[in-house]
Amino acid sequence: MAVAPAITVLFWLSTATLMIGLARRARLWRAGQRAPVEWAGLLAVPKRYFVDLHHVVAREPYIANTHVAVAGGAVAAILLVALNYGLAIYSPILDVAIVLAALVMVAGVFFVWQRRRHPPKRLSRGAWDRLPYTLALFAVGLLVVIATPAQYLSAAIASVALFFLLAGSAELVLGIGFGAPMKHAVAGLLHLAFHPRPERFSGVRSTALKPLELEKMELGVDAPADFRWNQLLSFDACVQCGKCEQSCPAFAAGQPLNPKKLIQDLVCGLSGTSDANYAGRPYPGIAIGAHSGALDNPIVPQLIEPATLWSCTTCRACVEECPMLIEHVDAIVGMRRSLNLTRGEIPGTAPEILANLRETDTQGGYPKPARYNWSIDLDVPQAVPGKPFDVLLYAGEGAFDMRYQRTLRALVRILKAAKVDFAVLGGEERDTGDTARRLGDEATFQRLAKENISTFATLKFSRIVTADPHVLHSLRNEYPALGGHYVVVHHTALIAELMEQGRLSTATLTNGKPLTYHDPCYLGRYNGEFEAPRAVLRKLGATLREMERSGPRARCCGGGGGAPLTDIAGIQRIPDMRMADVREAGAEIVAVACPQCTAMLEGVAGSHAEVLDIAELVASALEVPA
Amino acid sequence: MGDVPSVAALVSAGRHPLTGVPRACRGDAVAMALGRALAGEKFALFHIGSVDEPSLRDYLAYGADKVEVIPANKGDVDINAVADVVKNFDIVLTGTRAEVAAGSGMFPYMLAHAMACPVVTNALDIRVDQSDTGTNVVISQFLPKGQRRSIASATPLVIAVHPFAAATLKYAHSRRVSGTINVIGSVSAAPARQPSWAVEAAPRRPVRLKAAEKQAGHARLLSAIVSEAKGGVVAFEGTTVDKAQVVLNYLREHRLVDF
Repeated sequence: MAVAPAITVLFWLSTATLMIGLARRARLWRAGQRAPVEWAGLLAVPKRYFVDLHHVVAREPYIANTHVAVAGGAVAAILLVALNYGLAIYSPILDVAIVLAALVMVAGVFFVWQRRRHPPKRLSRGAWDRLPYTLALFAVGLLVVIATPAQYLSAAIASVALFFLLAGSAELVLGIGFGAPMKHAVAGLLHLAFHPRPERFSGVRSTALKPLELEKMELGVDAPADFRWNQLLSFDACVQCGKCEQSCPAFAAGQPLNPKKLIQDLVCGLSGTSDANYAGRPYPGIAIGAHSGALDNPIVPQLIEPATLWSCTTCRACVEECPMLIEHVDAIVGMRRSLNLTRGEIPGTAPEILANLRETDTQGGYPKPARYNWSIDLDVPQAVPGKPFDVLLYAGEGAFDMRYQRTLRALVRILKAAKVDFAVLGGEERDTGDTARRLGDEATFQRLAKENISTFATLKFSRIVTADPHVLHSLRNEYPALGGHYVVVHHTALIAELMEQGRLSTATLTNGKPLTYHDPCYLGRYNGEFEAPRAVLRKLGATLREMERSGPRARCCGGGGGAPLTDIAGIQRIPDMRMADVREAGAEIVAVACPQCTAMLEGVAGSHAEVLDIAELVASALEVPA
Repeated sequence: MGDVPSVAALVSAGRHPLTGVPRACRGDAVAMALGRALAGEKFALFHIGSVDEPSLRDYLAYGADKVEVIPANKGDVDINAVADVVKNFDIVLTGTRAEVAAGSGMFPYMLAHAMACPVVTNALDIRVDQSDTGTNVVISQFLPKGQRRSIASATPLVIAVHPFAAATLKYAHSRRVSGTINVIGSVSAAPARQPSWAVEAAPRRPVRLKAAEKQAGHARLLSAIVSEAKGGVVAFEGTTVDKAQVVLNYLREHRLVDF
């Protein structure tokens, strides 16, 4: 029987090829910057794969089951081949197991083929379309070679089957070296091991950006080699499923951003190729084939147009959807930082806003004491050093907006009704620097953060409450890296708590209009707070009509990440799409919990659902004590 | 004479009008950006004042590679000495008005006087034409109400740039850190050029209390075409207290006082 040794040779040849390919690819990843990684991550791969990654994949059961069959069958078959043929055991019992694994794989491949016949638009075509065939060659070749009894296996059949097996194996082992589709298997597993945010696997919503060491002239990502090496690795893990593209509000609005294409462009930059072979949907309005990159060449504009980076609202919908757990937003902000810090090239009104932040500590260029003008008749206590109080109310930039002042006034009424011991910073309050940070202006963010931290240090309070999820995110998640540790609660969480404790007596909402709730990205996806706002609304007796995209998958209002400032043109506006979602849910009131969402949704032209902050709804239902 | 004229820009310490935070004086930064676009390598940036002036770093961030500082005390600058420093440049750019001190806008005129060369103010755009007869500078000048005037001049000349000039300012933190500030020479002190103005606090004018008009938009538009006597009461009768009461009632009715 001459087939068995042939499989042994083929196995070791394939293994060697895979290793050489991996070494070649690893050389590219190593061009990236140093990153703190734990080698123990390799041991955690099975758990991270079967629990964390599969949890995302399982949102679409069809492909999840298909992948389990194909990949499970393939991995089992390969491991068994390694045992039986790699070690030259040639046990017939193991052969049976191999045949079973190959059969499972064939069944899975059938469903891959089925889906590839009429694929959803978000899927990339090109090389990915040949996968059902090459994978079938592998499985069928293996089946024929191993399952056919020796007496029926003529030399002709054996060589054809071996050729099938060779072709199928080539797809599997050459992928990583040549950057073909099957590289996702190797790079994906390594990405799980060396993920840039390993805390994600312990159930933490890791969303804070990492601070730049400005004094070491760390100025963001100019060329692909400026990414950390495990970020480069993560780009290679992409399977081009287009889940990110489907969830991206900027893409849907026709702005020139497609997260999938962005990651693929970074792969081009990593491997020094052009984007001509990309076979998915392009950045809206930007043709494929005109851009290329190299490890040490600047990314913008040779590889990625600046408008692409400035379209992002940093809503993290793509990160939420990505089955390979790639961090798109980190990559985008990394590149924005370089554009901002080294070139100063930022579109729209953003340069003016950043200058205002440098010169007045407010985005609008207002005098700081004017921030609390709205509270002038409300007798709001001002925080003074040496006088401890319980809750620090931090208004944020929304305090200068006349629409949002209504929300803040409602919040103050609620705090007073519940007899909360609170105070405001008044003229001492600066911007948190959140907008500056999303726009890549790390220098301004760090200055503002440090100054705010030293202001907080003069005061004695137990926690900070804010109605602005962007303020919440930066104070709660991003200030700790700069030495500021605070308990920060969103006003909806505080109101829910006060209701729970019976400190707020509210009537039910009287008008009975159908109501929906729009999750702010920075409260929901960034901080995992989905329940408190809904609990408050339920307490008010409102029947929530959830929009199709709500909770962790909520659509952004378009107001995040400085996107309203850079204002990249598209075909439609993101808030218009969100208002259409509201209409579709049949709601006449959309409850919001963020000044950006308020402004964006209020700005929708034409008649639309009434936009009311949860604080306003609660304040309107407050029962005045007799 | 080379193809590209040499350009010097003189910049002042800027302060934000609301907060007083040191910053590049907007008009001066625009002048600097125009100068850099015009002269490239043959551009130099000067500041007369303190080398520790915090706003100078802003000019670096906005694109200057280096700032040459001629040390001088605030207010006592001999304009002839300044002219001496920039006399070898074809074009000397300044802003229109400083953000600190008197801000009289006289500096470009005084400098041109000391250099004995023409001065053009409120420049929006500067173009340099090279011809056999020499360098000809064509300036588009800002005039109110959207009007523009084109002025041509030979070099050397002083140009005061209008803040509306079309120059994009790109602020980059890395340049702020990496740029250099050099001290060159010194300017001899001269009597202060601060105009001998008497400074006094602005009087606070009384604000006239006026009842808000509570009319619909349609009625307001109608009132523009129909002349109608505005109602009012002339209080002849009673004591001074009664008359005051009439006024007080009016104020209360229109919520102009709350007591």
